[in-house]
Amino acid sequence: MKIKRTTKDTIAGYLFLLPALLAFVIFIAEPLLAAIFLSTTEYNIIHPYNFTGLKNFEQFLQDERLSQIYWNTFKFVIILVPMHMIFGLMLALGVSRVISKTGKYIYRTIFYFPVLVTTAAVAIAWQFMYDFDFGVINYFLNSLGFESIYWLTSPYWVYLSVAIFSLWKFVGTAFLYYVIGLQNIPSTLYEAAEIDGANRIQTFFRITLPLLTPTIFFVLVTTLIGATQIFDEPYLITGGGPLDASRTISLYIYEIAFQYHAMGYASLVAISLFLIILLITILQFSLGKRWVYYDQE
Amino acid sequence: MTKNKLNTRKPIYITHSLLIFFSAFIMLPFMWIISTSLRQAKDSFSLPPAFFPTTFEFGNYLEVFQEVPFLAFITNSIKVSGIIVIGHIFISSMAAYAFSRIKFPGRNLLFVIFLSGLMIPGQVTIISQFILMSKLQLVDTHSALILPALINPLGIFLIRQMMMTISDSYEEAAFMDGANRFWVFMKVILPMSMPAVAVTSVMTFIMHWNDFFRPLIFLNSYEKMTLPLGMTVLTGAFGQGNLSAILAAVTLSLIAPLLIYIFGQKYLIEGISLGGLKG
Amino acid sequence: MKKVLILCLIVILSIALAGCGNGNEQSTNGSSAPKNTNNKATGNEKQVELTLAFPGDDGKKELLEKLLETFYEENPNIKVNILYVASEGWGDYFNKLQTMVAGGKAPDVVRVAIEGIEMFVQQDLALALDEYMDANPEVIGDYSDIHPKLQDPFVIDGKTYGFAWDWNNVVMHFNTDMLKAANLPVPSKDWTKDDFIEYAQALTSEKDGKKTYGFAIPNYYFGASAWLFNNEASVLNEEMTTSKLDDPNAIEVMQLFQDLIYKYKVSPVPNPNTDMINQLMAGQVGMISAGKWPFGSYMKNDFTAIDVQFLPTLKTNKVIFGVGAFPVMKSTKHPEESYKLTAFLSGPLSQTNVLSSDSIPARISVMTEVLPKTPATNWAIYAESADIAKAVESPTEYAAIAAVFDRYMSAILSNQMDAATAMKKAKGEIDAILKK
Repeated sequence: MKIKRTTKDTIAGYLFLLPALLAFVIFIAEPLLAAIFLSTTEYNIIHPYNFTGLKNFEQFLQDERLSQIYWNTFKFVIILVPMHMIFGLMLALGVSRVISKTGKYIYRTIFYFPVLVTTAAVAIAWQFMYDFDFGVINYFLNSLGFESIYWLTSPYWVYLSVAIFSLWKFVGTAFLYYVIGLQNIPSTLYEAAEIDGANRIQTFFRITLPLLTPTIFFVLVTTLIGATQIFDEPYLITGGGPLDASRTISLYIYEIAFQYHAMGYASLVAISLFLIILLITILQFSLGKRWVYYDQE
Repeated sequence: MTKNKLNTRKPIYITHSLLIFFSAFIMLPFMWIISTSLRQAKDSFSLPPAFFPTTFEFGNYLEVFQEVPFLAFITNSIKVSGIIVIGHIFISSMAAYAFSRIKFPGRNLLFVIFLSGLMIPGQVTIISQFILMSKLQLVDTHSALILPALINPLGIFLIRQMMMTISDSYEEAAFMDGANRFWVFMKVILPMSMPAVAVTSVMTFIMHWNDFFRPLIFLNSYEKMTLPLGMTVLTGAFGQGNLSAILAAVTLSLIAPLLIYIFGQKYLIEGISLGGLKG
Repeated sequence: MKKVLILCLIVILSIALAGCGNGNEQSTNGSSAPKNTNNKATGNEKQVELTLAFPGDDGKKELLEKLLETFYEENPNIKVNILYVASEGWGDYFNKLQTMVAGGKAPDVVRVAIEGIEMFVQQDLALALDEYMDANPEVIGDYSDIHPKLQDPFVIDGKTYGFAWDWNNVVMHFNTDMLKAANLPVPSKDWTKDDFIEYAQALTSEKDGKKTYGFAIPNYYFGASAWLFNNEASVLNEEMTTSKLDDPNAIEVMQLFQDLIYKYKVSPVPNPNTDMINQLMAGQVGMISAGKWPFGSYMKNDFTAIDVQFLPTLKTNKVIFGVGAFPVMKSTKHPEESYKLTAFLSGPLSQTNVLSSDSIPARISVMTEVLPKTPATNWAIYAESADIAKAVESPTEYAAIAAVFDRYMSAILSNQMDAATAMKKAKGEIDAILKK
């Protein structure tokens, strides 16, 4: 009886799994392995590939633009991740203090709506807002007495331009995660704290923050992985420019693969990105064990 | 007691100022977009900028449909996202069922492998997917967008979470009545997993509705384009200075997400809860 | 169990089918027609479908389709599907075409500009048309009517790959309302660099918070090359084996561009979406360097305060030109019909009807007929330049090289680097590309 059931189960299990397994192999596993193989070739799709061994790797080490581009990506991550995490948290805490339910609902709607909107569409609008001579933002700076800023054409300001847009568009995600995280903290703890005479700051650091660490960890991991891969925002707002000032690694891979059609080299750069993300994530998980507080009931 | 009262007044002002300020930050660009879209073309760049509509040139909206196949952009997006959601739900829920309710050798290992797929950045897989689609002559078709999107380990994970909470007794009862696995899946487990399925559907739909990167790579001709890609093309087409028309298109593109938000808000929040915060 | 399997297959199949629903028509009907069929179609010929690739934003859609009606009358067995390829500039367009070839979906006939013809020929993608020309000479009409200088780029190693259809150059456009307001006449054809700077300064002003600038920098390969040529400089050397951007003459031009923005302050900083044609029409900028293509927009917007003149003489005055044609792809399954299409598209009827405003026809007869209708007093400069113009540099690696050039130009125009540093780096990158 038992033996019969298990074989039947095995077959059933694999059959249910079959479509997903097939799709996984064709669209995730094979491409990964293919990328590793491609990185040792020169291939432009039109003509058959050439096996070139470590030549791409040599190019990788000598690529002058690459170090600049990695550095840019790093700069973006340093700016975007803390920004999203801190603002998201501030907004979530703020909304949690709002007493009226409608007020809460309105704020939540407003802050989360941009997340749903088509990035390409609003990015185009923002690009016009950032126009040096005729854009809205400089207009306001001027009316307040400040000089116009070269939002899209200064290698320093482009980071801020992309960052502000990113904040406007995506802070809702972190915000919402925090809102839910805050909701999961039992109110009994807050009541107990009030009875014990704790003030705002003590409550925050002793109760809210520790119990929020799983959420913070989750937001940190996802935001970090997302930030290393950003493509849409720089592509649509600055196009990577001026020169390479706002070019992220994803933009560069796109350029190599789909404008120069150098599939081999592009694969190598893509794999380097993958390894970096892998490394960062492993680091985060091992460090996370130290500071994330899980429910120890 | 008095101490608490004093403590609570100042922070509330700060809190509300912060919230209002940030709300303005979010809302102003939208107001600018809508108001400018209603201006006459030749005034579209004029300063001072508009935040409240003073003119009502609805003709700009018509122009959007005339200048580029905007309607096609929208229907393409609906079609692609729709088919992806349907296909994805079927494939993921079947896989989730296997992972959660059938015991078979290699189950846990396979599940971990699936999840690790989430770690692989799109830039790595897209190159080979593109080559594959080229060889299959599927470049510039919707299939190229749909097929790779059918597998999403996150969907499998979410639905599995839900399925794991269903008590065994339902299935056992059905088996004793002679039903086979597939019937149990379709008629018992899947309906009971509807919340997770709904959530995954909404999240998947939005993700693909807004996808810019993959259509950029796979689609070439206007008639096939989805909305995000179409928006960039539109800017080129209106390059001869009609910012109002461009912003009219942007405004139009806000409608679908707005609708999704109104009807799907509940599911989105549930999805995030289910997803990852419980450790 | 069986049910599960069948269901899975059905799901996958139906998704695949639904997605593939919008199949692209590739010409699959009939085999290639034999070489010596005569021109007029007989009732016995099989129906053939050709795909014509066109850059999407060329704005000639209705005119083209109307024109093709005449083609269908003469060739009832051929149907043409126009594929509009969305792209940003010629480099991007050529990349997309290459992608299509790689994806097995190469069009039969493609609109191409001189910037891409080397690449198509070197990559062995273009079909030599000579044997079809010998078999069916009537289709082309008077071959010598095509201006020889303009046709020349399409004859490579003695083989003909296309027939020149339209061409464009770079001249200076003026908003004549702004000129009048500054009490300036349209300059004469030998105006100098100093004259130019004076004009730019006179046209720059700020009234009631409304800024106007004298000149919009041509921040694109074709436009900037025109200025390089006028200073005895160029992007590449004659043999196209190395870059000459580090030549002092080249650096001088690029530095001038930077100075126009930051020193003389007569030019706006170009933003990614800046459209200088619109800036001219809106009176935000007084002068722009462009060819004939803005006239399409001028007419569409009823903008008549326009006149043109040759670019100012720097060290010399060589007008740049670029020319377009419709090469046939080697992979076509219908070479004979494709040849007929390309010849027709470059023919006098096509040029007269489709190229009315924003390009210059390549056939001498049509040029003399159409150019005088240009709504600018100085229209003659377009006709004069055909004989003296110098072709834009179009190496095989045009897309990559233009991208490098544009990138470094953006660095210069955004004041990130001085011209000398930028151009030296550009040369380095371009040389690396040429070596491959």
